[in-house]
Amino acid sequence: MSRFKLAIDIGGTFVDLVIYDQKTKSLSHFKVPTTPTNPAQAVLDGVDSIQFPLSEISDFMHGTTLGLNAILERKGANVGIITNKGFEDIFLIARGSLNFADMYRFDFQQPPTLVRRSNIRGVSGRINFLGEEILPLDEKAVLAAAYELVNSAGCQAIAINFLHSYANTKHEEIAVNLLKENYPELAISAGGLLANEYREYERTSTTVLDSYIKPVLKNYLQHLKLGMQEKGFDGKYYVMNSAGGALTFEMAAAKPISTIFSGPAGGVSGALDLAKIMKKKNLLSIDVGGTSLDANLILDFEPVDVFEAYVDHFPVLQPIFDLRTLGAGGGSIAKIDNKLLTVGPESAGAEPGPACYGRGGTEATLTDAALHLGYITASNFMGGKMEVADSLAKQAIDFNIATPLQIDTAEAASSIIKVLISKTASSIKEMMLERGLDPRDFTLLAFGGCGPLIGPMLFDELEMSELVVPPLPSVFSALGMMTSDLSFTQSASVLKKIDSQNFQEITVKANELELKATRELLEKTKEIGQPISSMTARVRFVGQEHTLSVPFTDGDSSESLFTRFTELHQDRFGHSFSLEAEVVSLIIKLTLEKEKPDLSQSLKSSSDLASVESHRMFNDEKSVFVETKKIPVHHLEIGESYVGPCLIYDEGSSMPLLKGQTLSIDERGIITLRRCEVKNGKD
Amino acid sequence: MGKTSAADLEIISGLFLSAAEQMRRTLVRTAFNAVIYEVLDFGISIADSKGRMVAEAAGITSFIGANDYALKTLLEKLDLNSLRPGDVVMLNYPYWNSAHASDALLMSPVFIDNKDIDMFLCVRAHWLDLGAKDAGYVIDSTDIHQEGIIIPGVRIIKEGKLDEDLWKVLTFNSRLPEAIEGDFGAQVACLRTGERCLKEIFSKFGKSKVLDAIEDFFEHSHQKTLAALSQLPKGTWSASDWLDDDGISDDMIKMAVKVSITDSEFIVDYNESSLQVAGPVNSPYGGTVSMAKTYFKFLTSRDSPSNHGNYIPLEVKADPGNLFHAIYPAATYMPWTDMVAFELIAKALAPVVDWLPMSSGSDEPGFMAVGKHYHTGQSFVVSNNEGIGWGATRNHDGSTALQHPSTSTVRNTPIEVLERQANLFHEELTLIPDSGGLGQYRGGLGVRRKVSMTGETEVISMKKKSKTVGWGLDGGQPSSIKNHMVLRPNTPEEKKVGMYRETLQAGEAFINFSAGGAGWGDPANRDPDAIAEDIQDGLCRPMSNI
Repeated sequence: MSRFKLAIDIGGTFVDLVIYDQKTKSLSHFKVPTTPTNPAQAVLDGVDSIQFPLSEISDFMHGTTLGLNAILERKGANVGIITNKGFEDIFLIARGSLNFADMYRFDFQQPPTLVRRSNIRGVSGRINFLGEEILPLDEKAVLAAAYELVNSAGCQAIAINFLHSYANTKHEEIAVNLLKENYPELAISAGGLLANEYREYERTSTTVLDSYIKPVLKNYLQHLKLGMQEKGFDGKYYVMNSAGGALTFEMAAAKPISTIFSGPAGGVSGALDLAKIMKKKNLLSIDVGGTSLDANLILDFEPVDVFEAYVDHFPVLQPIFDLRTLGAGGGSIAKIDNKLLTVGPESAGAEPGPACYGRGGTEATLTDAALHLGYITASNFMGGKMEVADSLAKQAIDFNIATPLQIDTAEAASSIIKVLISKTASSIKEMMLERGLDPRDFTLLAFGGCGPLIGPMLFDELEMSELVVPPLPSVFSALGMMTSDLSFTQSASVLKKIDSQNFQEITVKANELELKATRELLEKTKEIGQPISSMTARVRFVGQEHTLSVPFTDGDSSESLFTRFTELHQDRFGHSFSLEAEVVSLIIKLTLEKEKPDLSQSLKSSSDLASVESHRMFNDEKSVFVETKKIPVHHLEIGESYVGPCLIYDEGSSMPLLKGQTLSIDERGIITLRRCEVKNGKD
Repeated sequence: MGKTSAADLEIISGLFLSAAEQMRRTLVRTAFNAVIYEVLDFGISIADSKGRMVAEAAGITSFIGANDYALKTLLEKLDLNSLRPGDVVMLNYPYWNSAHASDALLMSPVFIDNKDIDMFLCVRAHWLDLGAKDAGYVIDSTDIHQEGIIIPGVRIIKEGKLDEDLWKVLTFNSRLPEAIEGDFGAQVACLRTGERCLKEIFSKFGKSKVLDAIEDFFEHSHQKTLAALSQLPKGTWSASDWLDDDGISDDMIKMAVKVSITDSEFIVDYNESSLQVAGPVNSPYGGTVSMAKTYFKFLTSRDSPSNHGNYIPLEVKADPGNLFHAIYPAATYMPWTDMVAFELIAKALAPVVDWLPMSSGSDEPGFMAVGKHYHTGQSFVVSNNEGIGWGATRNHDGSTALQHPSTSTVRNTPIEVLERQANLFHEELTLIPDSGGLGQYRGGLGVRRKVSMTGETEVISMKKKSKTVGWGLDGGQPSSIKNHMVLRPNTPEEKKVGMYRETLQAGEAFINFSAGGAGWGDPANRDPDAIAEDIQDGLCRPMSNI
């Protein structure tokens, strides 16, 4: 019987395992340390440690940062590029720009590239912008190039990209087939086939990244699958993709670039599910860990896509949710810089970690400040598995901050938190304003080990109306994976103006894309049943470079599509033009729904927690410590209102409910925090 | 110690920076023209009631501090007592502003409690057309009145109400009235965002606390800059360089700088440069100041946001009538002068400041193309900013194929866009082997681009550093390639040009060349492994390393 579902999320420090029991509708969760040298081993060790009958698990869902780390650490495959003769340097020339962070570095040193120039070969053959073949592909040259790249340069992967391949993929198809026949072991990626969109550098970059991580991810997934099989697992394997959906292992290995943000995808998928359950159409979610805060928006029950996605400084033409990473986490370090008190983005990370961990950290961090103020409880840190020392926190705060500024420890600790909250709130306002949005129209969702810690303060600073904390916030990302659906996207380049003449052609393209994608999905997953499909068109005014993603439906006419686009443009940018618009490409997203855990009843946690105790906590308004209570989450009663100040905690996190705030919990274990009604004239 | 606690100072200064950032995002989000939202041709700043800059957000690297001079002149020219809440003042007069006439500056006073002016907000941005003699770009004007309508710092919005009469004059003077209307709206939205943010800051902390924090923040930044200054040598150094010509005659134009550093001052004197010239290459003094500020920022506070305090030690000298202090009626349309002069400070100081980079390709050697598309029949105006090689330092090779340091956030235009929108069929785009200047660390490489026309096309080659080379130090050499364009290569009509306008017919071609950066140190000392790698990668031929 398949009674359980398993989700495994690899973070920087820990592997989170969550098991859902479909019979008792309860969750269990575990943490094991990561093994950076062999990440698959950490997962398998984790599986061993939980001592569950693997044969009773139906689904195994996984989020991995492997591909991303391979790129960041330059640990991917030796890649070769085959492209048009005369255009070998497109990947190296790129767009020639620096990002804002580097704009005043006139001594800028370019980071090491992913593909050396000696690994790039040009072959003759040319397609023009209309998709017409101007010069046939020199097939002999393709084979000669591949021979050199594989045998002399030792390439394990080859990225193929030709000019205008979005308009005609013929040359790339020929080249791919030639390479597959002659080098069956080689990892091959091709631009127009992978990302059927215009702009040669962006497409080349996407292709190079895909091939760069292909051998790495393939090995990893194979290793994992073999290991799981040996342990008796006989269910289905899924990996999270960068759009918040799930892929089978085979789909992920074939197109690894789609897993590039697999790591945080569980959180996005979980946030989306929560939005639907709670009928909150607009959510701002923050996933706060030890080193950073990942912010993401759900707008009208959809995760917001990024306009232009980058990994490192490389563009990626793939549907990716817009995740903004801010340097604010439990390990963020406070420092004095001349007259300023700064906090982060530098972090003490997991090693040595905050000073209170007692692992040799001497810097004052957010966690140290929070511990000193009673915003975190020392008695049940990591479910009591880890000891933290307030004395070490105090020592670090005094030495680094309080003594040099001639203030007391509590004021220093409270200042550290205020600075971090103010900075984080500013960044979030900026990110939302970019899309014309106001945080006050959103519900804040806080999770991750430190999400509940900063959630109530950030909620106040952003003047939001509601803060929601899910059950088991510290493993919410892993839990979120279980709520994801199998999703698959494909794109097709169109580049046609929206008018009644072209519309027929656009519709034909859309139908072709849908058929092709559906066939491919069913082939790849061996699932039966009709996937749910949603089509979006990337549209822009003629002359613009950037596009907006506009829903494209069966009943559409050229007028309705154009109107929807201009309305969205008005909404996003505050104006629209009386210009012509064009469809740049079509993207289809196919979804096969997976069975999801039933979280309608309170999630029972397996661990044993203490009872309500008295607790000393800092009252920021009055700058004094007050005696209050600390309440384990499982003591919270449904229907009851709790008023701050007090501390709510579980084994993975603590949440300081501040003065003026009130919270309640529902039958699903979801906590909702609001501001107390202000009574007339009274405090 | 100042009056403000360390935490409040960080928080309040952070909120001002965030206000500038929110203004930036509002402008980018709402702008109509791609020069603003793609090329990021704008500058935003927040200043106190004395016009001292508190926070800013630049789009283009060299637009740092670009509004300060304009605000300073406005404070002198305007009757401040007549300003009211909701007013917006507009300025594009180059000699008072800090850029050419297409850059319109909008300024609004902020009255926190409707009594006195407490702060000023400024935003400048490039407008597509304000009625200059040529559409697109002007490369041969000989006086200011050929460069567009002049708006000399007048109220375009009075107490929140647009001056319809003045607006009519403006739109009737533009070839693209819709675009300027859109961009004007975006700039006003940007100012209103700033005003809202400032009011939030003042209401949260109270006026006196905020004003104290601003003083303390200036002091903090001033001290940090003095500390950075103390790391620089004291003395006076000079350098000079040449600008190709003024677009009217072929004569090269001398640009010279004298840099003096003391314990508390950094004085940049351009007076040894040529007097102002006939063509549109004269730099408004405000532009000269922001060019100097940008390099000064790199020298003293590259990684922290800047404010008035950072620039207290900087003094920029250029007498009226100098190439770097254009006066009426000098033509000022082409900002290439400030680009080519950008690294003069480095040239003067590099012999004594050992971490400075050698010269880059020294120019923005791009091109524009205008015509009707051979296939679609649509009119087009396209442009491409070409990457250049950057200079080596004592620690590493120069970067390859990046935009000029003063415009480093701008991007080149994809081939697939140029071929789709214009008659520019590409035959080649490649790094130029051996174009990095030789040295123990070599310069970055330049780019060669060969394009043939698929239909009649007017091509504007844009370069002002095609006649002379850059500089390296301690044995490092300049790039062997100069910025230039070859029209109709390998035909009897072949012509090598710098700044030039020419119509090419279908089948005719051009090749655009961009220079590499200069190398540092004796090439004989280059690491043999680096040489081997360069040879293997085809970046250098074996001979050139001997």
